[in-house]
Amino acid sequence: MTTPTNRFALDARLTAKRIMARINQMMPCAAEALRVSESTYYDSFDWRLFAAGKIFESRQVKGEPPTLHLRESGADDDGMVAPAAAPPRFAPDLPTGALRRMLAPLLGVRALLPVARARRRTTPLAILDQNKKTVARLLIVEEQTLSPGGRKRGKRKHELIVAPVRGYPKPARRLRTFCGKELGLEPLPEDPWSNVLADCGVTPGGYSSKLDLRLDPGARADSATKIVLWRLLEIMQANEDGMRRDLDSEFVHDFRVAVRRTRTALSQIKGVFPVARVNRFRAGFAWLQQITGPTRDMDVYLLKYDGYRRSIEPRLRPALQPLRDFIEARQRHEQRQLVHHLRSKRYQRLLADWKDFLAAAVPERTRLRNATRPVGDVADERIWRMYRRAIEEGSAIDDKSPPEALHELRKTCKKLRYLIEFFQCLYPEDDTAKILASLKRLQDNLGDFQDLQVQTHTLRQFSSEMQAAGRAGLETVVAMNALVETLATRQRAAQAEFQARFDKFSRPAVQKRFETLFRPDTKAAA
Amino acid sequence: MKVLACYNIKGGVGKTTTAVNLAYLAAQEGARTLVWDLDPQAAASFYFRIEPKVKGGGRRLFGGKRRIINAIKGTDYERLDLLPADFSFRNLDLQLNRHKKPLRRLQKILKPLRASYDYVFLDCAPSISLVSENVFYAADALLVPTIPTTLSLRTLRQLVKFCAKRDLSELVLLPFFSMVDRRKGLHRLILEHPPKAATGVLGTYIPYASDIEKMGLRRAPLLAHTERSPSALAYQSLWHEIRKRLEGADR
Repeated sequence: MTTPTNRFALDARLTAKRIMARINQMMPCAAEALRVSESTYYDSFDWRLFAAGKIFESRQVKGEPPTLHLRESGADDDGMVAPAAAPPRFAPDLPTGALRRMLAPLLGVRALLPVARARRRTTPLAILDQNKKTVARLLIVEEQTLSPGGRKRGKRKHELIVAPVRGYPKPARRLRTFCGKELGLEPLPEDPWSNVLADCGVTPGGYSSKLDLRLDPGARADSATKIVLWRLLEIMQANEDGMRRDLDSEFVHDFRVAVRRTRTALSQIKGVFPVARVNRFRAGFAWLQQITGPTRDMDVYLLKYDGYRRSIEPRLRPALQPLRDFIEARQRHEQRQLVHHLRSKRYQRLLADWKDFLAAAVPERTRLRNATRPVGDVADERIWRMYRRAIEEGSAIDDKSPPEALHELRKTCKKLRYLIEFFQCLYPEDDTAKILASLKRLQDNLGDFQDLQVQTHTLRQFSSEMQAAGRAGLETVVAMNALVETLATRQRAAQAEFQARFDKFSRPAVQKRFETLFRPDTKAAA
Repeated sequence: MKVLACYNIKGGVGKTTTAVNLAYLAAQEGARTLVWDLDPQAAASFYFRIEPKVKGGGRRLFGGKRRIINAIKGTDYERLDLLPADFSFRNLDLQLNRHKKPLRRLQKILKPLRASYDYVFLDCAPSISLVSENVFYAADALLVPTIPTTLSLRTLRQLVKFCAKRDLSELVLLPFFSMVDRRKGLHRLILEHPPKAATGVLGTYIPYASDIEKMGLRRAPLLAHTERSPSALAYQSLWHEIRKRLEGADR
């Protein structure tokens, strides 16, 4: 059953007076005071609230205190309300209450960003019963879409909205019939924001860091690779502005993942592009990885800070604050450096050249060995080879292996993962999902081990730097030592767990799955 | 969700006007607010022009047969809803007694409203009965309008003792003087020299005023018509004080 619409496009000639006269013939009604309001729609850059079916807005009705509203999309109530003019950038800074409890887990580390604004002038007509109680309202709305910055977007619209009053379904039903059948008005989308977002040229859910590609297994490997790389470039470009403005830490993160994936594609999908050109771009993307690294590192320490704090004894916790201040200052510094690099000619040229390269048509004839082969075959080959390498490296690791061995395996697993993700659409979805899940369990362990090692090392370094600069007293040094100790313990635990995780990943059942999906000779025989 | 009950053993002390006006103020501030008219006299329902009728009556409502949320009616004011009274509420004691854990019945059926409302105001019938005890367990705070007379203070003392005997340590008692007539010597005396029985009484008092009585003619919260009259100001400052006390209790 579809719920009948409450919203109709209004002909500007139908004035409040005329509508009231028509309604008065069927039921008593009275005009209420004009309401002037301005609302702003917020979501994270990757539309986390939209994906969860939620709508979050700030609202300022003239003469009333400003409020924030979180509701289910499609619901006609106000949802959860919190008193505040504009939301803070991050959910933990919202006023305490039900709204924050609902919003915080959905948003995670992402910032709330204004998406669109709407200015509305509403004349409510109250439909009254015999006690002069309002049992429904008809809202005559004049709406203007604005960009988040306040510029007018699209034309001014007129709408007629049936606003039911809880517990009185009949009068609302009557009004809907009146608007649709008797006035013959066009129904509008149920959510008041869908038109506003369209006016701003925004598609909800329009960004995702997922690759989500469609490739033809018979297509030439070089063109298919260009499609993959083009998508990665799109992700980089989508995140560039947010990274520059440091809106939240995920922009740099998504940008860096796209860069790392690009580097993997360039180095691992061999024989599809001329080596000299590839080498130039590989150097360029290595540089991009390098200039975004320090900001990301500091972001990670800031994100982990609360966990760090909780991991040490309560009495030591206050003494950790100078560490936070130190990281924050360092983050600001690294962010400035990053912005400086992004403004450089080198960066602009790299991206422009890269775009030209990807946009250029592939040569009809080439001597490159893989360029014109079907992408399906090349993908099989590359993934199978990387899998073999991971198994080989992992099997050679034992208790006495140096940390570098685990680090190498981690890099290999990342490459394997990226290769599978690039060509995921060429294989049955269920199979790749299972393979990626088992790979992820191993990667999590390797990631923990490596990250904890880097963190213990860096925190020790921070500690001496802070002492040298006179920014850490004895108590802070003690607290940081305690922190490093807990991290080292966790690192040993991760190392101890490696063998079990790797055994699971290298077990025959998983190997069988890899073989059937990717191993070229097995597939040829089949 | 905070549950605030307007309660007094005595009748005619301003329970309903308090519930209606404070709920109106809460909703105005942006809180999603519900008034539950538990009094079969249905004065709160009358003020909001809503028929005092609940399908299936108290038996179905308290029996869990009818979901409480479906019995709620929207008032004329934004974010402010009402659960109307029903004449069958006169037998609530009997109905409650049919259930297991009869003292916690009201608390239980209020639970599903948690996600939908920030404040629930219970407008209680006078008397001290099984319903009242249900209210004590369900409420976070009791707002007790008290006329500054000897007998009223005596009933207040009875209430305090009653709560102390039961396991109600978390219930916040918020008595305040109501229907205060400064022309009367006794009212003035008690206000200016509060006796021991009046310890813990809030600083704000509600005056005896004709505009409060006229709510019955207008059938609307006082604050919806005037924000500046002495009684309107008194309700505003009372709400402010109550909110502060509740925040203090939370800490």
